Amino acid sequence: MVRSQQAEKEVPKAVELRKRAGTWLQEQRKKAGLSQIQLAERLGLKYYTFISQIENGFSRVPSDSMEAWAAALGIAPGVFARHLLAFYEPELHKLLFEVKS
Amino acid sequence: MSQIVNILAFPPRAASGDWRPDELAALAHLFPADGANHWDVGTTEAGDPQFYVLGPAPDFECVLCVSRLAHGYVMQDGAGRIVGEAPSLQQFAEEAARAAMRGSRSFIARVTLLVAAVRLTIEEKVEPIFEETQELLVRVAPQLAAFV
Repeated sequence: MVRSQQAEKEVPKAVELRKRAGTWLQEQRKKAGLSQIQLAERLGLKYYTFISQIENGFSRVPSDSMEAWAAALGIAPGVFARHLLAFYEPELHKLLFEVKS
Repeated sequence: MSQIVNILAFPPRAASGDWRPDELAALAHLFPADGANHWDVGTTEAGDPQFYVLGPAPDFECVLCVSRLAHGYVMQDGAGRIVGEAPSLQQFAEEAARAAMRGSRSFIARVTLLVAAVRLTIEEKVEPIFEETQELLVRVAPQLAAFV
């Protein structure tokens, strides 16, 4: 992916975490043996471009379609949602799942 | 023809690969970066180019995404909902203007499209008027000068 001149030089935490989520999703898709187009078909999307939008770290998997994504990738919905929550809402994930020391 | 004409030329669609400079210039003109908004580009796995209009810092979350596919251009909001589809960038810009008026999508996407639509309207409707006025002035000025 080519970075344009527009975004600020310092990468904020939310951007970095979204990129990491995108990379993880891409890994899971490849592990499932799917192309972006095939995943979009399984999700019933008219265009596959939204998959790329997410994997490139610019958008999130919408909450209301997490179950469908999990099914398409062969991951338990709870595990899938919890993993993405760690990227998208790290503070909430910490409160919900991380053990206090 | 005036020397200060600022016409947004909409280039023909490229087959595949990265954005061509003229396509990118047209998109950057429609969705210019300012203090609050930014843009970025990327490609899909199949090599189709994408243009991301990003929201404000610190999240820089995508509010609109323009993708060029084999049959044309597709515009989606940050949640992947289709906002517009068009075979050319010219028609795409018009579709963006219509989508902005429909108001059925997310608020941020609508505002972004509305700004693009207003900019397009100014270029299409107002600039030619300025251009005509200037041309008229150029023609009339020597005659006026003759009276002085």
